[in-house]
Amino acid sequence: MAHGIVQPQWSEKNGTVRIANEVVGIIAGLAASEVRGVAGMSGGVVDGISELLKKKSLSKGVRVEVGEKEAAVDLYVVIEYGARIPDVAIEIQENVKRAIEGMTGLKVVEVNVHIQGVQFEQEEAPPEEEEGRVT
Amino acid sequence: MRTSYRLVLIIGSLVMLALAMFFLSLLMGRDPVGLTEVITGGEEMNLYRLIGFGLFVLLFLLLFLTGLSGETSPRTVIHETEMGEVRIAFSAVESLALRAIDKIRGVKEATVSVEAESDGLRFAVEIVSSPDLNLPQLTSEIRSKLADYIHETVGIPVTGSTVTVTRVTTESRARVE
Repeated sequence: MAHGIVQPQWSEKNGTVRIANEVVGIIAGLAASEVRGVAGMSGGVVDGISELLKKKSLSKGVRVEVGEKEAAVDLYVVIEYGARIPDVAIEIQENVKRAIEGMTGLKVVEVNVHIQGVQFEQEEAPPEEEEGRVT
Repeated sequence: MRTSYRLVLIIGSLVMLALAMFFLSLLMGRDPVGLTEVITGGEEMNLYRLIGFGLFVLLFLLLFLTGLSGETSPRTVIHETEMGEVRIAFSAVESLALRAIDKIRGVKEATVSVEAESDGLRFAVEIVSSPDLNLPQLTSEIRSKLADYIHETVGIPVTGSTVTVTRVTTESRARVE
């Protein structure tokens, strides 16, 4: 089996379904981002460089370790000011676990949440007038 | 990474680079600083050898002791949950504390540092206050609000906080950012 590819249990009957680490990472990243109180994901230097070179990474701030049937996830997040950190963290863990288990069939054994910073409210810039698509 | 640790690493790496350049120059048949003479020369070169020995021993001690000490305490607060760990960076806790203190009437400027203890967090706060205030009352208010806010937001008790009033100023703070 190639490194970073997992084979879920439900794939045994009619062939092989393999899920890449990157896919599990994207699922985890999206599930974490949609939790109320999460301002965004915090990527390291590598994520920053890869973002410069290609499109915005959906698995930014996510480290995934996968085995044959289990997965462990580390999430690096920035939370919104005013949110209660333990509540947000537990909701992230539950949401990520539910999303990965529901979509891949892998058993999530650990979801570690690393709160890297707090985002304070910003004054919103006035919306730029959009140019019409046709004149 | 602490600044002193970085400094030692930078000095160490520069010395390694200098040695590499020395060997490169030997490969190219040159010895611009006359180091081979120091190595192969007679007793008159002993002073230079002694200086070289001293410098390398000093560098060794710096690197060795820095390596031994390392980061003595983790820069995160750790919560254990059923599904794993929640690690909160000290910088996040400090920025939350700073925000809570900044809102207190009478605080013009503030700096906060946090340390983890076995049963909670300990804060060191330095403030610049407005004049005509009862300072013991102000510091007591800061301690109380900080402890409540951190316990509520981060979920970890505050075991203690030291508030130091470093200056009293009459300058008015900007009302808007």
